[in-house]
Amino acid sequence: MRIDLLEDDPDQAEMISHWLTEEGHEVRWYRSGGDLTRALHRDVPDVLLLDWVLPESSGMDVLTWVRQSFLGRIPVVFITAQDSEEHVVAALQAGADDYLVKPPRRRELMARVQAVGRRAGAIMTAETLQGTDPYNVDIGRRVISLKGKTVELTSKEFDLAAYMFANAGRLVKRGVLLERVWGRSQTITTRTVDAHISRIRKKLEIDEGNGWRLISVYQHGYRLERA
Amino acid sequence: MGNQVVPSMLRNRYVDSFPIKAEALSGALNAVETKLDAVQVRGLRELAHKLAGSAGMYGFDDLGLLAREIVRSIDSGAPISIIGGYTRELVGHLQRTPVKLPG
Repeated sequence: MRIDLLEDDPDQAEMISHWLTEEGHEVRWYRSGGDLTRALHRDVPDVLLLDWVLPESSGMDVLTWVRQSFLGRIPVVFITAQDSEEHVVAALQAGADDYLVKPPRRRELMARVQAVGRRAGAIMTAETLQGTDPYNVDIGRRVISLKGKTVELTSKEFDLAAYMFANAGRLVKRGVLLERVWGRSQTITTRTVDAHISRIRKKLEIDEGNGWRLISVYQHGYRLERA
Repeated sequence: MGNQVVPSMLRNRYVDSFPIKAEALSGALNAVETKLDAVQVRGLRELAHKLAGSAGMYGFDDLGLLAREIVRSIDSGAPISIIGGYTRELVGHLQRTPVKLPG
């Protein structure tokens, strides 16, 4: 997964980044809330790890901004020394998905990151995605049906549609789709993504009549969401 | 925490920073003892807060616990003598530089 880490202490950031990259994740480290929010305008990660106490804006400020932004539902995990019940409750009520008290333990951190990624659909482990009615997205058989009727899709169209359903409600960057579906091919451009998005919208009849919309967010990417 | 496998390169780099951390803590405590105000206390708390977060990850649980005691004693409004005692103990630990790992 692509993981953004907000941590002002280089010692902690280095170790957490080391753990995550060893597990195959891609980590981008930011020392301030300003740096992170600027980066989020360009690229949206699969999971966000936030420290609470920072020199400028706090992790809570960033969480509030993320939840009020157009970015959609990015899973957020706090890693913080704030260990009081009040802090944990405040973070979860503000929209954090999980909370770890420092110092984090490696295996626990990995398990929690995996868990929030799985819940958010960044890791597709289920054979069939849940909550996609009236569509049935069968990852194991690589088939998508609408109201019980199978929709004919090419392999890439299936990958793209499945990724969008797995990340429903979240803004997905064109670059991310390109990387996830086409694997960073040098010959494929974001126009290909746009063309495939247009095709799956048509083939799957993604419209308000079926309770979904696949919207283009100007200069950012696409979001599949409930109508 | 203590049983986590820490790559020797990262651990050694962390150990290399102990003299700087000890000096910074001593300086911050000195500032607090010279002029007890919110800015000085915040400076000491920030240093201890960072150490409390990082030390356990690198296998130095005892340092982390001491650093946390400093933060707690500051947050609870403990007398400066208590805060100073914990800080000097932590500085002492940092100055007894642990053996670096090969590699």
